Amino acid sequence: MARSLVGTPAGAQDYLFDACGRRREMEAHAGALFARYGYREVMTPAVELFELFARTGQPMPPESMVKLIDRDGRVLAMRPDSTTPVARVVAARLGGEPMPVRLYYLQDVYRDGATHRGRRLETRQAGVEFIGAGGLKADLEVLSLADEALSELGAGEYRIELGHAALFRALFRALQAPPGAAEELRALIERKNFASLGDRLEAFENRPVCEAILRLCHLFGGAELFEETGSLGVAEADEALAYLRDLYAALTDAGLGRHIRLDFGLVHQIDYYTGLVFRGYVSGAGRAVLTGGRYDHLMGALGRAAPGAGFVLDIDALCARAEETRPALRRARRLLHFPPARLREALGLVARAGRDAYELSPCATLAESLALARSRGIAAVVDMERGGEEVPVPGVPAGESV
Amino acid sequence: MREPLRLALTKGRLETKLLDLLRRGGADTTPLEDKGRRLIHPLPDAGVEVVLAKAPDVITYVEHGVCDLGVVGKDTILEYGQSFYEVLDLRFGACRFALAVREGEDFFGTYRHRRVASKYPNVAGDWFAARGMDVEIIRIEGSVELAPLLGLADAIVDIVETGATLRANGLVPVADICPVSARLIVNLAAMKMKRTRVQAFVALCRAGLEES
Repeated sequence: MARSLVGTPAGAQDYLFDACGRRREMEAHAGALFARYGYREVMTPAVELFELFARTGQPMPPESMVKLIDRDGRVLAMRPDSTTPVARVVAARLGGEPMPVRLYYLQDVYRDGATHRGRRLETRQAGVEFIGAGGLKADLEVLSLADEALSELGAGEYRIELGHAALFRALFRALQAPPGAAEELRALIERKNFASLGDRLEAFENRPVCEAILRLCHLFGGAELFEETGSLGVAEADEALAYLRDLYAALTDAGLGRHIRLDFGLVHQIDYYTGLVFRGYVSGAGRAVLTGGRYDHLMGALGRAAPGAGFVLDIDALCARAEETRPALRRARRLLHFPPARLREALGLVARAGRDAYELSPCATLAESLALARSRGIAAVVDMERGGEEVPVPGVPAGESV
Repeated sequence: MREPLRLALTKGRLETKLLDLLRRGGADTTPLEDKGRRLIHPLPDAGVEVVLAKAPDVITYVEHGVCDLGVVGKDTILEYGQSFYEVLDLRFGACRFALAVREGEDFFGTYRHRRVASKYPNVAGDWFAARGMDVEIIRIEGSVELAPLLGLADAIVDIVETGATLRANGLVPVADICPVSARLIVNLAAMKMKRTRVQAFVALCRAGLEES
């Protein structure tokens, strides 16, 4: 019984002390960067109508959503992503705003299932949505912001890989396979399961297209891929390749080429994204910390057709990296013992001395303050009753409490 | 010298088979033949350091990125796997998933409530769901063959190599679910951040496969 009262649900956790500071710092940093690019902040409710996600092509399967029922019997969902609610805001609330609009958010998303083995129920994200603009320049803007975000927040080496949703879509259509096979093939490509993909494609007649799909699966790396790939033999796929080549050239011209890679087998959430798709990795993190792409059909599903693109950063994954590469926040170095009448003076001293220099002692006597300092590993007590004399704490070596 | 990749290797049979493969590919594997008390074994010739683990843990380590590479059976991947690249069929450890029933039993032709015992409830559940069959799956950790003998289940889903264990317990395979063999898996981020080193190891494994 006691355990159920004090535990958290699987995949959810508390954040204490330094962890809160790191999260706030990371968010503030991301927010300031987005604002610099002209994005404005929005907050949307944690709970939305279930239909908003179920009927707009949002890629999260219904069983992954955390659902609630309101008193009228309507099904609600804890938002599994923020793009759809932000698009809803643009469709429903910003009708008077001329397009394009640039919006950012710093909020949690909730995803149920697979919470064991370290998956999270609640994930903090920082994201941007650039709605009402399509084409090369809009994609470039979003990508350069993604690059800057990882460069500023990523704590070290990073890569952004680009793909295009039309590559697989066009090749699959040319294959003329039953629609049911799409997800199976997509999953094999996503996992770069070369062996099984080859076996599975044996079943189809259209050999040149099968070969193109197999090649797609192998194609990831740098700019040399454009030469290696040549033509995929399907016009729409070749157009997507040509688009990526232009985009890559423009990124290189803008000085961003160094961190950009290509993965033509990037096929996640293929029904949702309509053009460019991308992911960002930082060294030391086991999965992508940035995910994004172009979703030109989403706004139409909400009744205000417009192109859109955006990305999200995984704040918690970035914080975990920052924790490894940066020292933890400090504890107070001295405990300030003061008589009650001099509270204002004591507070003034703490404020002037700056972060983590002093901690106020709530104790009535110096002896109690010394005992408290010892239990906290603080090396000195500053005693205002004796003119601010610094009393060393017995049993705590000086210099340990930095 | 560059930092080695970390490889999570399933303890036991797959372990010896992988070492054979790497040797055939031209790598010196002696550090792993004399393991001592160490937990992380460097194999500089293959550009990796090896961590020995239980099969489901291999997947966990690779998904979380504490290991870049993993060698694990397709059975474990089907049961536990979610997000990583599965780049190479290593061909050893070959067997199959099969459905086996008590001899003489008409498993498919009955309207009775059916129970199926398995160490692989996800694999078994997915297979029956794909066929629209409503069965109850019971998870068993040890010898699954025991469940029908004790009357707990009507059938089992398990890994079958020769079928000898099944026959000895009065069971007959009635359907093949899928073939199983060892796979080389790669962490999603490692594939992108450490591409050259990953490809070098894949090439070493391929060379070993071609020698066999």
